[in-house]
Amino acid sequence: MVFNSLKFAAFFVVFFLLYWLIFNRNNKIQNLFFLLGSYVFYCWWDWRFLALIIGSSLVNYLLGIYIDKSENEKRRKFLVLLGLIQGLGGLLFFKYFNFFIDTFISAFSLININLSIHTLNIILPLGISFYTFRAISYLLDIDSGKIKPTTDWVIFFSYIAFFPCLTAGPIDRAKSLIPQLEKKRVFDYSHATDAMRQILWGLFKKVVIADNCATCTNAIFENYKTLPASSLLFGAFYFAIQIYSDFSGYSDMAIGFSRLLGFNVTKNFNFPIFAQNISEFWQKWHISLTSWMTDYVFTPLSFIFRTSGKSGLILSILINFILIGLWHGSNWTFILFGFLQGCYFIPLVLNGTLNRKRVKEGTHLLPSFNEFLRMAGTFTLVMLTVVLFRSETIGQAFSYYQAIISTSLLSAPKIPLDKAVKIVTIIFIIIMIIVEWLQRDKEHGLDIENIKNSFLRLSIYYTIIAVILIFAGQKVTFIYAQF
Amino acid sequence: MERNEIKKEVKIIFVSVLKNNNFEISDELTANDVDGWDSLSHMVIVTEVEKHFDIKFKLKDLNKLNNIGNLIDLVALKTEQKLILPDGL
Amino acid sequence: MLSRFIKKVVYLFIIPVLILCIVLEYSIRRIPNDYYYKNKWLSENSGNLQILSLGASNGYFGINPEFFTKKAFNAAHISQSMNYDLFIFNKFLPSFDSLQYLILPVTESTLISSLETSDEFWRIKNYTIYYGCEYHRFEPQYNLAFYGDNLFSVLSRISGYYLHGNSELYCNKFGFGLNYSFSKKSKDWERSGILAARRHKKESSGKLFNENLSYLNQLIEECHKKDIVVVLLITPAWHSYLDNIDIKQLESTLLTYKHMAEENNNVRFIDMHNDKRFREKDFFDADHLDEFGAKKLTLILNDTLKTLGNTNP
Repeated sequence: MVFNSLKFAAFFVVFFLLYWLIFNRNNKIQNLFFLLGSYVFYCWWDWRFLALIIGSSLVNYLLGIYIDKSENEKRRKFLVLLGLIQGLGGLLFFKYFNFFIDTFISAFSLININLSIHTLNIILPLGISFYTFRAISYLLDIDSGKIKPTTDWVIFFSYIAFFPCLTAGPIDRAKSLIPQLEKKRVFDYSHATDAMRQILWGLFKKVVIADNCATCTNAIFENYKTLPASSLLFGAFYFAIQIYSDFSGYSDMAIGFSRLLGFNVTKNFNFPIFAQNISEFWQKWHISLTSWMTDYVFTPLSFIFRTSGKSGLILSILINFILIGLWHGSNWTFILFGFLQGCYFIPLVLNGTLNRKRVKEGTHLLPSFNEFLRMAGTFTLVMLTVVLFRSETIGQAFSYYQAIISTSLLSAPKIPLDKAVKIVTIIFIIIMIIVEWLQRDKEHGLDIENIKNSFLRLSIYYTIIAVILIFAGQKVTFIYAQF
Repeated sequence: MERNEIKKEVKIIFVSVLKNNNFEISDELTANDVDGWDSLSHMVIVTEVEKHFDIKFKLKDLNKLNNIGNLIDLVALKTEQKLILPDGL
Repeated sequence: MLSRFIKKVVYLFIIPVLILCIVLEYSIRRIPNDYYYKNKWLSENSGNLQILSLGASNGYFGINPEFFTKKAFNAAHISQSMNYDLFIFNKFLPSFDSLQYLILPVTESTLISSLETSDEFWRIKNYTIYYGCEYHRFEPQYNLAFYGDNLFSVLSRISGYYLHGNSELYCNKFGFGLNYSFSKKSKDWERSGILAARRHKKESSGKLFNENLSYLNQLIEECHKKDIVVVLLITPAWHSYLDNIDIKQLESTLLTYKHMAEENNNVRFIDMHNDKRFREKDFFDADHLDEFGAKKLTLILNDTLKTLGNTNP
């Protein structure tokens, strides 16, 4: 049940009305109903793993309480370890098991030993990457004394199964979400209307930009062997825009739906297209994941390696990004993607430009020439690596790269598609970029509360709705739902 | 060591790592208020502070830091401990 | 606060969108199309129909009932799978008083595919709306004529019909598909064989196979009761298609069809995959005939049907 479906619309309207009109008496009833709604939502996607998410919630709920209680340091460490094994073990099994077996077999076949281990037909439980990370951060934060465990199981179970963010994030921390679950939510008119704007903008990015880009990227990536290099560059560009608008659009919708129910969920994208270097890019891209990795992977690593100076920092960055890559899926392409992202940081670390005061894009209308060059450069670097995201094997990605580096780079791009689709897609990409540039210091692209003329606001909404209805691309499943 | 003295020296370390002088050091100052103080430069600062005061932090101590005030308190605590328990004891 | 919000959303957004949807739905449904026409024709004429042809695109573009001497009709639709063949047949079964032959064009993927799991699943709504099919009665997306298209194509369909008179009826009055006759041979048609073969290569699914087999058996059984001969027909294909299909998949399905013909005395199996009488000019693309090919195939079938008795030799 993706957000941009009639089914979800029907589900959410019913849920919204019941939540605010009937199950609104007190905090307990609100939470119970919210939890019920989350499980209904989960079952609608796939009921098979409901027991898994409930079991995992129960284990982590109890561990949280016991970790907090145990005075004995050893016992405490043991309980934390148990939680990590449970969470990461589940991820490893469901997400990475077959990958490891395959890698194992091919490693042995290199030295002429043929193993016959069967891989299992494992289906990835929906949202497991997201809810596992919530649970792990909860336990680690209790262990480090940042938070106290909740003793209300409904609250904890709702935190884990928080349905607007269950399938594709943002990955909220207990510290920000649990206190919100502990208080009775009150309907706020201006929050709700702004939430609607955010949903509308997210929907536009998802169904107009991302889905139309998908048509273009598919046409290019499926025929990359026969197309001129300039088209392949366009393919990488379209795909970079596609994953950005797909994922940030979906995050906008998730945040909007949460806000409609009275929750404030963490921001997931902060207009990364306008990042001026790679470090800034990763502070603006999939923020809830990168900040999670920073807190629980990068910081401990860089602490351990801190005596080795710059090489220690580089090593921590590389490990951190390889793991970020691997989080996206069990394939060598994702590992290489992460590794390359980490490598992009090396010049920054070596030059010491990493920490230099960043030139803030001012509030002026246009970026300066230097700013523009830095943004374009950063985007190009990212664009080149997302080819790995779209390829099935590293070999395929490399033959794509090889095809880009050829003389036909200078010839006119040729994309085997209807002219109208190409033009419409490019026009809307440009419109999205301009709007997001103008709105770059706002919470989301359509935060237009400052426009006081309500007629103008209304015409903007109708225009976007009309654009969505008229130009919505082919239905493409949401890329991130399988992660 | 005097708390104010620590504050001054910490400020010098910040400026030399961040190459940035446009912030006033105060107890409430957090990473959000200072340009360039992010997760990457944070550990460089920590290492420099350790070197400068000849102390060793624990990861757990660092996790609890919320602002510069906390950091200065931690440095003060560690330098005191060092006086009471000199190396080798 | 809440009621103000709800009112605003309902009055400013939900009601206008709902009205728009109703207008669009009504206008789209009034455009005549194949599904509407074929349902209507069958409702009126099934009583004296002698030959009925069903199946997917290879039947739709391959059999032109104009050239049968007996009264014949082609009720194939693009990507029509076995469950919908059975549905159409059953719907008009009570009035098939003079039906003698049921022609069922099949392919090597027929038994392991369904409209529901194909890329053409959006066609399901046509069976619900125009044939009154109950398979998906309670799923809104299969009951709305405009669903699955964006507004741009919906509007261009509407303006196409109401302003320029372009109906969406693409078959002749015997149900034979004309789209491929309007356009000439598809470009790059050697390659089309490779693509089509790839498209038809399916993960074999035991569940789908068993379902389709049971639909086919039901069809055969009903035909048996009414003394109707079922002709399982594999239509001609170009070598670029034949060279690229999954041999295993082909052999196992051929075996199934042969087996059916042996087991049931009202079933005949005709395999014209590699029939040399069909030449380049008879094909639209590697796995579909054009209007010349369809005429040739129908005339051949017309002769063949005469030699087929009502029971197996």
